[in-house]
Amino acid sequence: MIDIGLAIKEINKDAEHRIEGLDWNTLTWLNNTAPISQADIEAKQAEMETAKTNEATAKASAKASGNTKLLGLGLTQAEATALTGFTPE
Amino acid sequence: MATINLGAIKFNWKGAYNNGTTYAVDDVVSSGGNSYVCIQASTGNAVGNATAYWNIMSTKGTNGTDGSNGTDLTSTLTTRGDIVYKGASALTRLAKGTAGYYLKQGANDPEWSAVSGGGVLQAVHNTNATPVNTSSSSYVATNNSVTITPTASNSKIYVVLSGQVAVNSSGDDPWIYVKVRKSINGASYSDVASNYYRRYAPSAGNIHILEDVNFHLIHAPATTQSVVYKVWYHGGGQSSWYGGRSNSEVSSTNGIAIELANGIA
Repeated sequence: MIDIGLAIKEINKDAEHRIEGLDWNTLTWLNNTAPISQADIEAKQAEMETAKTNEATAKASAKASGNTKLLGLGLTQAEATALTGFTPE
Repeated sequence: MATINLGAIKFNWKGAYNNGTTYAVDDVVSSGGNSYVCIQASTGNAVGNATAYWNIMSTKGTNGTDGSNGTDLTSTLTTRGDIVYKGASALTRLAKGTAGYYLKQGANDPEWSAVSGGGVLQAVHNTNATPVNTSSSSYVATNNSVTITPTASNSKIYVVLSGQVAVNSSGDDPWIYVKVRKSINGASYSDVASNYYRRYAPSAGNIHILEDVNFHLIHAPATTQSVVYKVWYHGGGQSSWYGGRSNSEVSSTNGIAIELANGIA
């Protein structure tokens, strides 16, 4: 799960808060920060989590694609792995 | 048949001397606390230690309650817990001592004295497993704390507070700010220990830093009321955690407070 503080900062980079664990009852907004709803924070966490997953998927896909292209150029898998560190599953 | 006058074969107690009474040999009277025996019959001759008519038989003892030959302890000892000792010239009252004090012999007289050089008076410990997250740029309270109530106002408190602080930053140049603050008897917190700053090298992208925090300090709270020592912190406006790296990656904090008798530290 994306860090709650990161999600809050993503919504409002100037936001200042304090919370104990994940106990929403302890959430307080500091230094005149406009409150952000729990739903908005959780939605942002989910959005960032999806983006993080998509980014990881895209990165893995790019590695596999690059490896395929290297093999297409005539390199062996051992040679391609030596160059990129990538090993197909 | 001849008769022999044996006189009195025992003393004749006559009570208090009376100037108008005729006394015979071996009559015994009292006067002024003394007792006298008649050695020659007469009337109107006052008693004395060694006169023609009287001899002292027994002398009164020292009067211990008139204030001249003794001390009335009921007026010297006035309060529960008082004790008495021989002073420079008279019996002297040592007023009840402070609770927890011991009786110490001074150069001449005894006195009450606080325990000194005695060592550890008490120790308390607190652990907590609820981390705190903040994005504040000013100090917020953590759950890393310990509470102690000193038994003497001149005690020193050895405080140990330890935990882990983390910055989960999407920005650059993260800092960590940590310090110890105290609250006496529920009053507002004020600083105890110097601030602890830690700056990390500028770095782009998400940063996950976990740092051990350990405070060891000696503090003199000068009170016998409850004292809370607590770690306060912030991450310079970045999302930061105290007591772990996130709400799911918790490392318990610990607080220890040891009361040391005056003179130990």
